[in-house]
Amino acid sequence: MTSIAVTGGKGGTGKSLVATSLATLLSKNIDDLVLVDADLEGPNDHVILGIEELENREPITLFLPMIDTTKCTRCGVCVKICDTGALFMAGKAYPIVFPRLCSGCKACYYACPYGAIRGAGHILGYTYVTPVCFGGRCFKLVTGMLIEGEEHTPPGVYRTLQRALELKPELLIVDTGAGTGNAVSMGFRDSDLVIVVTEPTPLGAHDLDSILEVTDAMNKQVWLVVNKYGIGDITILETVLRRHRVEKIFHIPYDKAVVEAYAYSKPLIIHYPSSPASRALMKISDELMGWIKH
Amino acid sequence: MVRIAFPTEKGGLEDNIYPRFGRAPTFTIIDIEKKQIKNVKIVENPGYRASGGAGVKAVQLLANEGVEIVMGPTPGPNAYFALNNAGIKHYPVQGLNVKEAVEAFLREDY
Repeated sequence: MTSIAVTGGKGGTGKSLVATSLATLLSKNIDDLVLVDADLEGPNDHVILGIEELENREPITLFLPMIDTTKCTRCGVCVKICDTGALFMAGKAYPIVFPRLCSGCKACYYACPYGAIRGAGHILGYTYVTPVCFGGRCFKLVTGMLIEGEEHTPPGVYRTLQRALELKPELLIVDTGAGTGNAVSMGFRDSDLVIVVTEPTPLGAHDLDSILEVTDAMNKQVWLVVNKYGIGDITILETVLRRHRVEKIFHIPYDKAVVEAYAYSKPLIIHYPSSPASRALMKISDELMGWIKH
Repeated sequence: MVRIAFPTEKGGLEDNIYPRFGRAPTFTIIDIEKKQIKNVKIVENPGYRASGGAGVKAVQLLANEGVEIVMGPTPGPNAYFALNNAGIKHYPVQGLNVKEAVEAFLREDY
C-alpha cells in the first residue's frame, strides 16, 4: 500500500480540492483507492464531490471510565493520573467523570489498584464509507465526523484512518484538516509522501512555515502545491522555502472555474477538464502516478 | 474559620484577581478567623498549563486544599459542576485585588 497525505497548515488553501481531484484522477489507473477525509471538525470532501448522503455509518466509540463503587476505595489514584481533567473527586466522595473531557486513553483503567474502573462507551463521532464513481471509475471515500462539542480530535482521526485501512487499499490519500496540531500530524504520520498545499498570501506563507517545520521534524518527503498562483506575492513563499526541505513544487493557477465548480458542487476536473486549474492538477496526478510506480 | 481561594497571577494580597478562573497561574488561599486574615498561602494551579480540563483540575486543587469559598470570575461549565459537586461556594468578583476582595467579603458586599 502507498499512502499520500494532503495538508497545508492554513485553512482554505485548497487541500480538499487537491485531494478530491487527485483521488478522482488516480482512480482511473488504481483499482483500490481510498480517499480519507480526516478533517473531523469540518469534513467536506463529499460536498466538493457532489455527494448528497454519506453511507455505511459506524460510531467512533471511545473508552469512558465507569466507577464500580463496590470496589472503589476512593484512593484518588485515577484522578491524579488523568491528564485531561475528566475525573474529579471531592473530599472522600466517589470520583465523578466528565465524559466530554475524557480522551479515552485508559490510563485510569490501568492505574486503578482495585480494578474498580470498568469500561463504558462514549461516542465521539462517526465514520462513513461512501463509494464514489465518475465515468465508471470508482474509489471509496472514508469520512470521519465529530459530534458537535467534542474536543478530542486525534483519537477520532486515528479511528477514521483505521476504518480506511480495513478496506485494504492499494493507494490511500489522506486529506487532513487545517492547522499543525496532533489532529493533523496524526493524518500524515504514516504517509510515504506529504503534499503541502499553500497559497501566495502572507497567511499562507506563515502557516506554510509552521507545517513544514512539522514535516521536517517528522522527516517526511514533501511536494509543495502553490494554489491560487498568480495572485499575491510569490516571493514571500520563496523566503519560507529556503528554510525547509521540499522535493517538488507545482503551481495551480488562480482560476474562476474552481469557484464555479465549488458553487455548483461539480467536481472541477469532471466538469471543467480543460480549465487551467484542472490541467495543473492532471500534471500533479501524472507525476504522482510515476512516483507510485517507481 | 473560613478558607477562601482567589485566582491570581503571582499570588498574594496585593495581586489582582485573575480574569479567568481555570487558567489562572496561581490561587491565593486565605484563612479568615474572627474577621481577620490569618494565613495566606499561594499554590500553583495545575490548570494553568493543562491542555484541557483546566477548570476541573483547578477545582480539584481547591477541593484538596479544603477551600470552602472561591471568589473570582465566573467559572466555566465543567468547573462550575465540579465546584457544586465539592460544595465549594462561588462569589463573583472582578476588577479587585485580593485584599479588596477580602474586605468586600468581610463587609458581606459581593
